[in-house]
Amino acid sequence: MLSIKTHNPRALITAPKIHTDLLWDLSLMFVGLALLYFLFIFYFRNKISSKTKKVAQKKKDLSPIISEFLFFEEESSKDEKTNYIQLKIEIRQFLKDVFNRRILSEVLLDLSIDVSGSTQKSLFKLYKELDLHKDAYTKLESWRWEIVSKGILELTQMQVSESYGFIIKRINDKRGTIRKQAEIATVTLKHEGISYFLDTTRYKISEWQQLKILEVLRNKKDFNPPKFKQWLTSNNKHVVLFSLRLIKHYNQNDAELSIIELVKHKNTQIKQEAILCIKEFGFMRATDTLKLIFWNCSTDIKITILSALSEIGTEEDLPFLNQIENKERNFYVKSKALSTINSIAPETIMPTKEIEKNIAHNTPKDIVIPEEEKLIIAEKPEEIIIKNTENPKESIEKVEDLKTNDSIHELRQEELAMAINATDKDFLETDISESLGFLPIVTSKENENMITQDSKPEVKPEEIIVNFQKVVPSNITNIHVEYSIVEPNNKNEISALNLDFLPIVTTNVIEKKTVEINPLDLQVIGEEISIKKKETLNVDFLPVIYDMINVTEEPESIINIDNSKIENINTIFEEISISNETITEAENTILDINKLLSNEDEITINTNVEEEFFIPKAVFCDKRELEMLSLLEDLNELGDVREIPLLEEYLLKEKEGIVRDRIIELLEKFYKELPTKKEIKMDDVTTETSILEELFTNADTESKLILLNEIVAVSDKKEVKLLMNLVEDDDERVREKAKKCLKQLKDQIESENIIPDDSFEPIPLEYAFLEDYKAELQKNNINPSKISNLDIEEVSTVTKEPSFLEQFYSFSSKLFDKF
Amino acid sequence: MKKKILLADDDELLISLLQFRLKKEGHEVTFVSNGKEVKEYLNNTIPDVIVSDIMMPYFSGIELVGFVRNELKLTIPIIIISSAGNEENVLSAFELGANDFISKPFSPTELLLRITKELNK
Repeated sequence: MLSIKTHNPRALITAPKIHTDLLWDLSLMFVGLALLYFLFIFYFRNKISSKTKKVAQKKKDLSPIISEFLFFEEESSKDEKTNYIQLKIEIRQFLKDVFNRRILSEVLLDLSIDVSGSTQKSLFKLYKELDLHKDAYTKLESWRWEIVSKGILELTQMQVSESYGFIIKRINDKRGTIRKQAEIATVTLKHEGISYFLDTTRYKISEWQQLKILEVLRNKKDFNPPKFKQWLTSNNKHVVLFSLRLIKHYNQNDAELSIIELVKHKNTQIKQEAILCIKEFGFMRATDTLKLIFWNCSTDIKITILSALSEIGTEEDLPFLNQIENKERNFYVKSKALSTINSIAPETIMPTKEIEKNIAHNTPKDIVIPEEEKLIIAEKPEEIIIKNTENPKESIEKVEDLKTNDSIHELRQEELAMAINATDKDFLETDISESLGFLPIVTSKENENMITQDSKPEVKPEEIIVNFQKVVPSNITNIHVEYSIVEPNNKNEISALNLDFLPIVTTNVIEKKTVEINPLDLQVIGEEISIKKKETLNVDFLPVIYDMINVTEEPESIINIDNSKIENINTIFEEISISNETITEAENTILDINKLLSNEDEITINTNVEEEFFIPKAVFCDKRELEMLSLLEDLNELGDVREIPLLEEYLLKEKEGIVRDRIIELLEKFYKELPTKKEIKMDDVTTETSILEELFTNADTESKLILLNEIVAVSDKKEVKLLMNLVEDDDERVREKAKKCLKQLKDQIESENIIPDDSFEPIPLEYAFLEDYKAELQKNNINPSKISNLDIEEVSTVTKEPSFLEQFYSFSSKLFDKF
Repeated sequence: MKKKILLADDDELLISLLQFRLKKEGHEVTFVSNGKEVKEYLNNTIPDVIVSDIMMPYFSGIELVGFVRNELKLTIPIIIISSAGNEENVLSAFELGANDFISKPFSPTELLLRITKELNK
């Protein structure tokens, strides 16, 4: 046999040529390293254990000393006191060593966890007395995060509230452990810590951290939580989330609108928390917002919304829930919607799955099942039945939805359509019956009452009697329909299908009934109305309006009337009988038109009106007049009393016309804005010094009271400052008296400063033109109350109410608007 | 009146503190730091009251109650010290026959009052 060698087997097992001594050396080296390693471990283990023993021993030694300090009482015996002092000296010596200080700190920290009450307080006191908190402060300065964190923990645990200022700086430390420790410390050390923390934190607040902070707050004694709603607007979403949780925890339900708004937040957690708050507090106002956001939410949020709706929802929300049940594809959401419906309206949704349909088919013949139950069993469809469906269109949608893919957009459109057409029930019913409402009902004599929704009546064709009646399609509104109540033999069957909307067509002789006339079928006769031209607006038919006039008082200038209080004027309406019949008729016609305008539902137009009535004449202005009017409008809007000279100038130029009227109007307006009284400037008064001040400075309370009794009689504005100081006096009696005196003095000064009507007061230069204005009015024979040449009765008034002129303006403008 | 109190807890600092407090009131206090020592002590001596932590090495507070009530057939008062949030174990201890419990952190004065109350029953 021929054997072929394809490789050399020796080549694979050839050992490298290493000197044996080298191998021995390497072995020795590794053994040496191993020994060194074990020695190293052994050494450090011993060191650590000895240290632990030492610490334990120290702690053991320290514990009775600490106990002595903690339970020392002032009422102790002399020996105990001596012992206590001796211990204090010892411990001072003991604490000179840093290690001992550390041990003592540890002991106190351990004990602080296990003890409470007065012992704990004594412990905190001892910690501070021994200046151990200073070591913790030193730790805060370390560059190592674990030491800083330990320092913060120590200060927090030992309730060193003085460290609050040092710790709050680390709330936004970039190192997470320090930051979190600082957050806890801030909240723990002071009541206002939570507010500071929520105000300043820029980092995420983890769920665990939130729980820890909440735990700290819960364990705080006499803690009055702040209004957490103030942080709902924070830029830090974690703060908002935490605030919502705190709001819920502390039952602060005074932030309804903010919480409802947060339902629209982009952050899912905030959204969810806001919904939970809504549910917790029962904010019924939130239902619309919840429904609005529902379709764009995730499954979890949808379930939360439905859960909230089950608490706050009403029967008005049932259509929305029915829609969810129909449209939603997610099983959980769908189920939740059903349970929500049942929460709002119990037992609206009945169990349908795996319910036997024909439970009666094996029932013995001698057992009688009530007809009602039979019907329900027969009619139960595959799908879930929603009873009390307010809107029949929903059932149509339900069928259509099986065919078409729906989208959120469609849903909203349908929701909108539902809302609009909710009341249009007749239309929808017609839709259900496939718009065959006009057809006659076909009935059989023997089996009239067997009408069900699903099954057609089993009637033989030869037994059917059909009664047709002539229908004139051209005038459908004139169909005479007789409605009669049909009492079926089986009420239950009829109740299952509501066919009340269908007319019953019978062969009986039809009584002619007058159908109400459709307003749309009314004949409208259009006729021309002739309008008589008139130069001026005749308003004689208007009632004369008087202000309530106090006859005994001097009439005040029309300039002083306050325009803003026209509604407060008591008016007397007086009819003037005018012999002119045409005007009376015109008045009646106008009143009719006004009535028609105000009551559109009852339109009964008398088309035979041929009488003339008056409407205002159109005013056509030339270009210059238009410009002037535009300028005057600007002055009206932007100007003040400083425009009076300019207006006066224009008044002199304009001899007649609408521009002149407008100028007068504006002048009247600005003239009213002029001040009539000197206002008392208390600031000016108080700068002066009273001579009585020194007396009051050195006087006792009784003397002050006596002086105050007399001060009003002798004082002037200089004493105001003094009295103001006395209002803040230490003694309550002086304060009260000073307040009264100050009030009296102020009244006195004010009364002195009022310009008497008849007193002469030099007119300031800037208002000097007003005199010219009055003269100009007189010269041109213009009566301000007769502007626009309207014949109205002149009225003067002493009240500060708007003038008759102004009332007339407003009334006439309203009247023109009506026209 | 001097009473024998057994303190069983592995926290020597706390035990030391309680011992000091109780001794100050005139009681004779023995403390043990684990379950084995408790058993040994109880086999030799019967205290007037036992104060035991619920969590101890070798032998828990619940087992201690069971041991005292079921094996030693003693009716001496047993007060259980538990940590906060350990209420379920406390219920178990009560079921086995513990007389009272106190939750950490507690005031030594309060424990003293409870001990006194149990001793006076």
